[in-house]
Amino acid sequence: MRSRTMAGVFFIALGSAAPHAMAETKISGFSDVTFESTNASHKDPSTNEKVNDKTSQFFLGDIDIFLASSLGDNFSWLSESVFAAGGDNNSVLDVERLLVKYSPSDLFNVSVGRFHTALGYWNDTYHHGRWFQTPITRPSVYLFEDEGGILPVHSVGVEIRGLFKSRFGYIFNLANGRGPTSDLVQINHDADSQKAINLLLYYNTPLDGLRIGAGLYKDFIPENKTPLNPDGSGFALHGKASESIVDAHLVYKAHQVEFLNEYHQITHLYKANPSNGFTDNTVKTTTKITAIYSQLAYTLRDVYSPYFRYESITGDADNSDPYLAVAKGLKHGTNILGVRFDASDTVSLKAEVAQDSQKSDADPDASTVSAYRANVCWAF
Amino acid sequence: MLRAFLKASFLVFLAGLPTVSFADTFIVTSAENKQSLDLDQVISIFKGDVQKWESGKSIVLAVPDLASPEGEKMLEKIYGNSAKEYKKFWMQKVFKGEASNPPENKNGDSMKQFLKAYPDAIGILPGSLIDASVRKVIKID
Repeated sequence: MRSRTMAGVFFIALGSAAPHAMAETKISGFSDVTFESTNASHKDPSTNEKVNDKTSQFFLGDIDIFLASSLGDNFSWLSESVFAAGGDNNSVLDVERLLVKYSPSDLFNVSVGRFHTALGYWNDTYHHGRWFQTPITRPSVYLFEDEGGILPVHSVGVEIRGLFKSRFGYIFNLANGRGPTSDLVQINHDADSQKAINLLLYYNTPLDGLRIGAGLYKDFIPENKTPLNPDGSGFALHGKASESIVDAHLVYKAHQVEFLNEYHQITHLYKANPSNGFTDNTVKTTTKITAIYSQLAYTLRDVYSPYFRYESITGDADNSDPYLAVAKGLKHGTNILGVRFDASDTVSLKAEVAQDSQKSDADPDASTVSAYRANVCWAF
Repeated sequence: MLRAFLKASFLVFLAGLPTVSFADTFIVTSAENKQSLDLDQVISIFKGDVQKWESGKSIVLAVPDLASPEGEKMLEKIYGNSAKEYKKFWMQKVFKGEASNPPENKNGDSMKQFLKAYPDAIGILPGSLIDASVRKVIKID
């Protein structure tokens, strides 16, 4: 569930004619509207018969308001605030990014605030504006926290990044890290004193457009001993855990080709806790969740971009992960085929068909969801 | 007859001269900027990967109209993509927070005046407009 935040007051200052000198705040934004039709097929446990659930709806995308300006030599700031339609059919306002940045050199740039954690390529490249990304949807591994995502996509803290000789890049994050439940982005206080650290290294190869990279994220997850709801339902209870996320990417974006490939492995080490079924307090429990995706698109005549994406999330073979609600033995795969049409420099139409299948040890009969989506997105 | 002969000789002479640089396109800076650059470095600058001069001062980018001959040469040789992709490239650069602003848009005399006014600027001019007020860095080729 998206958190509700107070709307800020946006101040616009008109600077002098000198370029980039003072606070000439630029306002831009992105938005989109989607139509989706789904057909979910699963086995009804009471009758053991296959059931089809069909839905169709128009839904509003985010209104993504982006502000940025230079604050004088070497200082700049940006914010990304999103008006979003929530799952409860209400709109909420979220401040998704807020950064002040100091850039004394190409090798060292430091930002403080809320940002997208450098957990690979997609999260650092595509933020909340759907217009930038080729497909309608983000890879499942990069769903936002309040959408049930499994990665700490947002962080609040410090980011340091640099690029050496235009080839060797690094991004370092020091942040509040995970909260007691996976939907939480700790924007106001940290539930524990331990901070998350993350380091991503990448290399822009001499082949124009080809980049490879890898990273490591480490954090501690505070225990959750309080049920969300009085009847005990809600996020699973769990003891304190350590988290490691390894990621790797290989991307090629040049000459009308977009080829994105990423890998993530999330490892949790839980201290045993009777509340989550681990009855032996001397036993530590490890879960490993693996996610991959591969996306290929090719742009024809500068306007048509057909694309295909395969994605997979695999749960731990021996244990469910209570923090991320990933069932034991989960196998979740998605194929997406679509096309993007750039109607103008700032308006794009997309259409895609997605086939999603999911099964686990607890639910061995695969459920499948077929989705047909049409989207119009624009930049302003 | 003599005049016609002389005229024809002169035209033959001109045709035999090495190609003049009037149609060539050059990366230029203000006359005060002495830093030398190769094409790879120029590409890194115009793509926003390098944003500081060796002096530590911030580089100010100025590009010509994308539909102009200089603009088309820039798109082909430096960015390797179309005008539409160029605009999206800079929108994304700013949106990611990697750049505060897209390049300034300047042409001809306004480009020269801009480079004169901002010593940390770098821009693009056709050879025919280059004079002592700007410094030729490298030909885009």
